[in-house]
Amino acid sequence: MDDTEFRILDTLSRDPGRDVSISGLTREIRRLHGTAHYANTYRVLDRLRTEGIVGITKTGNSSLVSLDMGSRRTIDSLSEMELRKRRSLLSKREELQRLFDALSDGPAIGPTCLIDAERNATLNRAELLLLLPNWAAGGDTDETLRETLRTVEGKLTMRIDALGLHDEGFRSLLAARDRNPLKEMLSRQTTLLAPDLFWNQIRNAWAHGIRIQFDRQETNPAKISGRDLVHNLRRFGYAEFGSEASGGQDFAIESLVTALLLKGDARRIQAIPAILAKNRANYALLLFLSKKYGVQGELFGLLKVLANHREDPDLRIALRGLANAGVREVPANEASIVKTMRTYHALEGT
Amino acid sequence: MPSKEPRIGVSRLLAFLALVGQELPHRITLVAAGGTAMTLLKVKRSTRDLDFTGPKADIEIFKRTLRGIPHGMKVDAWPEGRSSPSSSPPTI
Repeated sequence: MDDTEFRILDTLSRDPGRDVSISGLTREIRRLHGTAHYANTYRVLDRLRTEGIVGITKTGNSSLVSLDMGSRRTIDSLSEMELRKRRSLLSKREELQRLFDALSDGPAIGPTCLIDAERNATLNRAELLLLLPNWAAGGDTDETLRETLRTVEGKLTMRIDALGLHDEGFRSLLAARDRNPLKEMLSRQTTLLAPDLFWNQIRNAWAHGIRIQFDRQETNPAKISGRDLVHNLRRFGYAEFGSEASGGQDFAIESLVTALLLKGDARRIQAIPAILAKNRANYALLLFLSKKYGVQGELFGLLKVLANHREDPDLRIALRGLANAGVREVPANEASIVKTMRTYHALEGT
Repeated sequence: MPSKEPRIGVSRLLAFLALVGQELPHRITLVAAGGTAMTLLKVKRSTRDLDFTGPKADIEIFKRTLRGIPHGMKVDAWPEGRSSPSSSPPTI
């Protein structure tokens, strides 16, 4: 794989569902890699088209390029590109090489991606996305994995925030229309382990009719605007008295809950069990975000109250995970939360 | 027993401050203290904790900004130069 091919694939893989013009792609490569020339990009794209790795469609005066996700050769080329990306990253960051070694020693579960690797390494932190097979769901695998990561964290004196998703959770977040952390992570990932399996998962999702769209900007829940909070609270069944529906950007419920915890408005925090009771949340994602932004204790207290009034196996697993991680619960005001849940018809049987 | 905190050299310290700086709403005054100051001055090779002080309002902004930047450093910040052990601040 030559430099131009690597750069083209690296750039296209950051949002594989998007069509981009050749000049737009050249500009994007230049932004990411420093240099790019239209003629070179065009020449290599033409070869990749004949090899069935990219598709080029003529629209008016310009040609739009996209990865051909239906082709197995695309997966092979993307895997090769990931290996090169990994090699380059690990040669620059010794701490990430140690992390890679530690993860390679553990049980091979599935594709493992490092998110925003260099920025996070500067912050003495690693953010991992682990794609777990469905056969590993429900058993002790998740807990064993968390335990392994805690050991690695201690050994490397590096903070590790990991999101482990099983096939179903992965696909459902990938298919979701709202902005969610998974789609944001995917545009900034470097696959550490099993790149071919990783891109196969994306390809399978595409084959199941899921529109593959990665989001380039990371949402900082602490910066979600008040207007968007009101809009999303309303969307998830908690319309505040006196607030008008004025529209806003749709965020995943997990991002909303984290944002509410970070903002610290007591009344809205008490609404969290109500919206979680009325909607289906991905608890793995919720726990990941709460650890990432340091609000695990507060979440633990709220989930405990919720579990007293709602039977949900995923919720029980989440509570067990928080307890096993040694998270100190910040007690929540149960009487007041129950009152809110009753008002918003979030209690079972109300 | 070895400390659980990583050792932070000058280049990593500067890179960390640059990342925080990108997220700040405006310029603030931040004064490095102790081992952090010595590392920046290259008197010491590295430090385990990052200690800062500065005007109260700026320290508040720094703490708030840092809350939105997940990190694995041990960062302490005191307002107005207060740094006695009796008034140890919470780690951010």
